[in-house]
Amino acid sequence: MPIPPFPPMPPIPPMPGGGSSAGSGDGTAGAHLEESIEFWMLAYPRRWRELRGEELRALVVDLAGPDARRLGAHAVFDLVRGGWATRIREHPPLHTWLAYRILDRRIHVAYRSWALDDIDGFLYPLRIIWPAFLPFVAVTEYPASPDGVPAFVYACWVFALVSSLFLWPERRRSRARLKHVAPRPGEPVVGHSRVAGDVPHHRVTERSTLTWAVLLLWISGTGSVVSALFAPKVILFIPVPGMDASWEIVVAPVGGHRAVAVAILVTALGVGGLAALMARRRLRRFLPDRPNQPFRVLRPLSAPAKVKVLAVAAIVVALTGLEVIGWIVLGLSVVTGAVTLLLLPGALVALVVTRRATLPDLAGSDVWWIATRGRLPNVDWPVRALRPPPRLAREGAGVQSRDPAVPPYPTVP
Amino acid sequence: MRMTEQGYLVLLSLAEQPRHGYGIVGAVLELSDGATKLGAGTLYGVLDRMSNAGLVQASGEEVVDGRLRRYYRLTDDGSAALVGETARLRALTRRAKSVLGTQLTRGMA
Repeated sequence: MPIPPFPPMPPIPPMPGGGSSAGSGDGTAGAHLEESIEFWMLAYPRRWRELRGEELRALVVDLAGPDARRLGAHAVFDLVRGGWATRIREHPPLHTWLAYRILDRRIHVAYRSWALDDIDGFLYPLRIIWPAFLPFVAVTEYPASPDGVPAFVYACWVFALVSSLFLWPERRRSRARLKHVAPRPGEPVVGHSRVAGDVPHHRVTERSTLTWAVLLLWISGTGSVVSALFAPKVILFIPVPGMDASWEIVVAPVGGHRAVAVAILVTALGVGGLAALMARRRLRRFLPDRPNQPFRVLRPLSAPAKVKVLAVAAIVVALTGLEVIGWIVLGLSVVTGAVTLLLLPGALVALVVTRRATLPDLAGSDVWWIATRGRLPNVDWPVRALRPPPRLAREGAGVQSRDPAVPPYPTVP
Repeated sequence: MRMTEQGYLVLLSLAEQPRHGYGIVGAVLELSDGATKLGAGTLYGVLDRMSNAGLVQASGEEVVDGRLRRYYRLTDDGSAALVGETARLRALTRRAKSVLGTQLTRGMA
């Protein structure tokens, strides 16, 4: 609809506390104000910010006045209150939320925006797996022992929960988006909706994958060796005399068990070395004959994924530190170290083999497939994912079924 | 949907013509004789609720000085709600006058 020309608006006086003036309205002041607004607008849900954040930001700038450098207390309170009110308004009711969260029931169409924010959120893995941790909490808290729950049990929980944030597979998120957010066949396409569609299979390049894998494995392997050599405590399970299937769990000085830990790591490294020789032979044999991949898009490791790798490395280093200073017993780092040292030689060998050849279209997953299975990788097919509706789709058009033989579902209200 | 005073003023500001956020704030300020000055967060909360209730809808956008301005206009339901609320307020005013008749006359004198 064309907008008729309006008479010029009379100037609105700045809000009381709308903006704090501390100088002239130069570019720096504007930048400060924009940063301030960006920060406080985080109170709004992410999808809301994407759709309407720009106009809200423009209005806040207008209301703050030309000389404002940052937002005043009144404007900040108004933004934060508005943002949280929006979050609360868009949140599904309790029964819908419980069915979605615990039973993974498909969420009602009215809460798709909320679900998309939820699935894309950094803490999504924690929100998904906390119900699974409740039985563990119950088992370890009851019956309560006089000494309480050993610290290492809590360390394991924290380790598992924090690790889940960085290791949660992207395909789980993608599947959740398709289930909860994508309109079903027959539903009308509305503005900003995403529809399920076939998209190219995104893979990470071999060079990027191997470089970052070797970095992580190197840090983790070094940490485990340091921990095995210097950790002062170990946990022992001692059978209780005269009682069948009863064990006493005690924390004791590491003593001779250090040799066991070191032997495990050395054995893992040896087996890893043998596996690396086999991987080198397989890579040399199969790399030249791998199939074309017409439905694949290669890209280097994304910045968030690199941050995740570094975060996992930091967790491993922290674990090593806790074991070395005796806050937790030697154990976890031996397990992670064994896995790491099993993989590290193969990753190094693969890095060397692939660096020597010119293989521009090689994905890291191809290297893993060939090295572990000893055969050619499969051809990637397009994957189902959320995407903007096709350019030709008009507003209100029904979402088409993937299979022409399948009639559209009735429209979901 | 319960209509608040702020909601009523926002609907009233859109009765004449479509307006963008800054325009609505200015019109509400004028309509309320300076008593109601909407903050950005408050205004968009009201617009969200009105929009979900089908009383207002976006009707275009433009970029002025590098800033996006989205215009909003009343829907038919919005116009009906505005007329209904105005009638309710008029009836309330009439009843208030009859209750306060003597005092009102004395106060105005």
